[in-house]
Amino acid sequence: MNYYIVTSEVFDTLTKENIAFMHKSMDGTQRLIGTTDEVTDRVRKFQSITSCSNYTFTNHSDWTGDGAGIEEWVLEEIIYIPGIDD
Amino acid sequence: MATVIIRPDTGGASTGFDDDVTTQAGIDKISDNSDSTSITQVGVTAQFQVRMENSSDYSGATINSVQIFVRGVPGRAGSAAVEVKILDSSSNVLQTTDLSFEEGTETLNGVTLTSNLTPSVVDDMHLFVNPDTAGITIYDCWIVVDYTAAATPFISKISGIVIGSINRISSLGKGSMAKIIAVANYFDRSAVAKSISTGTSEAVYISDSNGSYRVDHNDAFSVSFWIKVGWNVSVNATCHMFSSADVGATGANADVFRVWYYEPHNRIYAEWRSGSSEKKHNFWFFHSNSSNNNNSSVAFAAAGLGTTFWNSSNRGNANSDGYTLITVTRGTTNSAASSNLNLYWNDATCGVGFYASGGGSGTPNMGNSTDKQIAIGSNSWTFADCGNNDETKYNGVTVWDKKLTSSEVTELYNSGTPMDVSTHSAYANCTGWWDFEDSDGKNKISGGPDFDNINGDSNIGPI
Repeated sequence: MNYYIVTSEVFDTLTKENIAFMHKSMDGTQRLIGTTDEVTDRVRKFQSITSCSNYTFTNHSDWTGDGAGIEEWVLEEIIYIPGIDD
Repeated sequence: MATVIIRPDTGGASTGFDDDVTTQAGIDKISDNSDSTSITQVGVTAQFQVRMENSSDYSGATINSVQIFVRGVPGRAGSAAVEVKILDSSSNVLQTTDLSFEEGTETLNGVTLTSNLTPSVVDDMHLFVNPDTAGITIYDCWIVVDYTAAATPFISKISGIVIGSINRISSLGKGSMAKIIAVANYFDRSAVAKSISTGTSEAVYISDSNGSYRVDHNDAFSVSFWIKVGWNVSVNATCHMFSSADVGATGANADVFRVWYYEPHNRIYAEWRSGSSEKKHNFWFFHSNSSNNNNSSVAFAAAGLGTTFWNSSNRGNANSDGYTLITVTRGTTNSAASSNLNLYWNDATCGVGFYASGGGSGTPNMGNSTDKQIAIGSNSWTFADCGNNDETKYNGVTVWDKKLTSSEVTELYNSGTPMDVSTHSAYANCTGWWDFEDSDGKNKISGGPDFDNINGDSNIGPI
């Protein structure tokens, strides 16, 4: 699984069936995603699920409203449903 | 202020009149408020004494004054003087008045009496009438009682009052009133509020279940709780509602059973797991009124949230206090399929979860040899995922050693009022019940562990 931050515009162009995880940024301009695709037009790429999670804790105010980041189990477990979670 | 007229009721000593007021016939003539009946003085010496009736009107009231009235007409002399006395029950004279009747029928009144008056004095008041030798015919005599009704009259019936109508009576606060009422009739008016801060020092949890709730992966189990959501649309994170883990757990894989809400996707999850690859779970989402995804319209209807996600400004189907009963029921199969795992919003099933055959991976093997630490309003390892904005409140938390049926959930929902669970038909299977009606998280099931930690800004208070 590849973990990225992409803009919402880029997200709209991606193949949704290959996206396993999607979380909107607080301002709605970016998406943190887990996908089996390679995404070249990206804001940030993470080397692992752990580094991805750690990034959200460091920058939690951009990603959550409860003062914490996104835990690894959330990245693994909360599947994205195209058409429902957009 | 108000007034009431009291008239002669019982006769006393009487002499010198054509009718004896010791008889009812005589009393009637001077108490009927009519000029067509009367008693006439026939002797030089004449007098009578009567006991006045009483009235419930001034019961408990402050008596402001009493005033006597006599209506009569003098005899052939053309004028008559009448001495009138008001007496108490011991024949002590409270007031003496001399009335002077002139020619023709007239009504005269005495001076207003204002001292030493109470309802009991007025209840047993007597009137003494002593005319002079000139002669007089008396049509009626009466006393007007002026009173101020009691400020706190006895209340025999209250109607139209609903929960929340009364916040305070004098110095008696709502919480105290709820406890008084609860003595007579079970009335759950307190809840625990989980602070939005994280960590042990802010948690609401059972630190050690001490032999209880070592629920295995294939034990029938149900958990239910009333929740009043405090998070808002900006939480954009996970909010744990109920979470059980091994004592000393440091992560989500420590034999966890949990129910949580993921606000970004508007989903409630239920899960048990013993490892990152040994877990069973399912989830229900509430904003899609569609037959797709195993007919998500069922959960849509159950929650009543519409297309807006669950938050403190959109609580969906909730009772008048803003609480929703969330219930997860699980059977004895190690599977999160809809045949084994169900979610109820109030008394309504949320239907088939997203995974009709159950989600997760591997085969959880939780075992039942380890005591649990159980948290409300956070996860049970780091005590995080508590929401944002405002405290989320929980009430009527119950756990059961059976898979509650739909009808049993309906019974527990009790039309939206947290119930006395001891009266539930499946009470024998209720292994934990915390209603937070005391100042602590006491377990109402004898011998069961209490929520011994209600820490930091978390608190028990009115719902």
